[in-house]
Amino acid sequence: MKNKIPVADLNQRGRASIDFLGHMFHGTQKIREAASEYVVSEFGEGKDLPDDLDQRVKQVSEYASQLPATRVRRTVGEWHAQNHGLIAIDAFEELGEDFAKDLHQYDEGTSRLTHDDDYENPYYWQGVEFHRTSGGWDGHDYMGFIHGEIVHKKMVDVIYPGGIFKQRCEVAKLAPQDQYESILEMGTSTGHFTLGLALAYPDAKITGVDLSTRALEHALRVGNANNYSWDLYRRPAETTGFDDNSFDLVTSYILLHEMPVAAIKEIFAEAYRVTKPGGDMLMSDVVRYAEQNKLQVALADEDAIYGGEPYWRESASADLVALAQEVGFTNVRATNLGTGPYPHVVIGTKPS
Amino acid sequence: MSLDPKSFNNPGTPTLVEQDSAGLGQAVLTLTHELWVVIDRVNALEGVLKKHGMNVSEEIENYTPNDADKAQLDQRGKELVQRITDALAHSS
Repeated sequence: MKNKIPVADLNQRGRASIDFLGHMFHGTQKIREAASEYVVSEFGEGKDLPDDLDQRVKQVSEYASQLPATRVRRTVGEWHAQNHGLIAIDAFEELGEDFAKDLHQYDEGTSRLTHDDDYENPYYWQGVEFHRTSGGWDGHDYMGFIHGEIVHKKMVDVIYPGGIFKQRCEVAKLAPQDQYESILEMGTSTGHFTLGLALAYPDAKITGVDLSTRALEHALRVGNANNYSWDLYRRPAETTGFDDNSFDLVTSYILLHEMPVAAIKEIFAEAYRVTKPGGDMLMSDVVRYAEQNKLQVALADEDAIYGGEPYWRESASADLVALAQEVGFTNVRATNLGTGPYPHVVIGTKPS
Repeated sequence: MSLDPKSFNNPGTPTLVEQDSAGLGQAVLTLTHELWVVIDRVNALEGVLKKHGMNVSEEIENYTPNDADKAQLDQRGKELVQRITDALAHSS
């Protein structure tokens, strides 16, 4: 992977602890399968389950609870939810102050970060610890590194064979045109998708916005370490402040399920406003509930409830194609990588 | 479901119930056994090395397993988790 930020060689305790989180995932595969088979054998595709999602989740959850494997699966999941962030923070702090200081050599360079303190964080973001990340995205001075380099690259990559960075690169290539001059990324986070965009469209000028200062600080360092000229701003994607018709491509990756539908609508409207006529939008997110059967939706919804995803239900229930069309994008279509429904990618064009 | 998004920070996941306590006891003892084996092995290893004049604590701190070691560790870690969770899931 292209990334010149020093990959942390964790100390023994941190390394073993992070590895253990992977072992927890792989070691519980059998009980996860048993728990899944138990509900599928009872409910099938869930055709007879209630239409009301609260009732459906309750019915499936109560039935599933009868199986010890389900209760153990939930226990393991809860331990992981409570501890993965703390373990990653500990692993980082064990590296010592010198390691942290060394990261600051990447604060200056070809990329730029602007903190716009005039922009208030929206209500749906304040105080929420997404993914049950301890303290939230800004919960540690180096949360960007902790989340981007330790959680993503040492923990999540183990769970998703092939790596999530590869997936981001492949999504970036789904944009309709071969090259873009200017790209706006909404929800830059620590720069993973930004890097994918930079590799896919090497001549593009990339601008990124996000709400998390700590995540953007890391994205800045990734940009500088790779000599990219990224312009990063701490601003909400709903009100970016950029001029009308500024970008050839406006895009986001796995951002939209972290917000209510009202905010998604605002973001799509903002995307339309800042896209140049003839330019494109590409927004990717989690699998739509409309693409899943009733049982799958109930199980996904329960996972979201206990996984720190307050907006998953309403976001996954939204028709992103329709929302994109409502704000004016044309030739809007949904696609994926051809390997399954995840991620759900919506592509459209602003009329010339 | 609560409409307050902050309630998702600590959602009160239902986990084990009273009837799991027998399995829990088994799992804790299985884990204690595994932990003791590791403590004893680390102690033995450091003792043997010290006997040969090698103070390795710092090197251990910075040790990174090679690919073969890593694969073996991953397998053993997976098996350990499987033993503990099986003890929990099959003893209730």
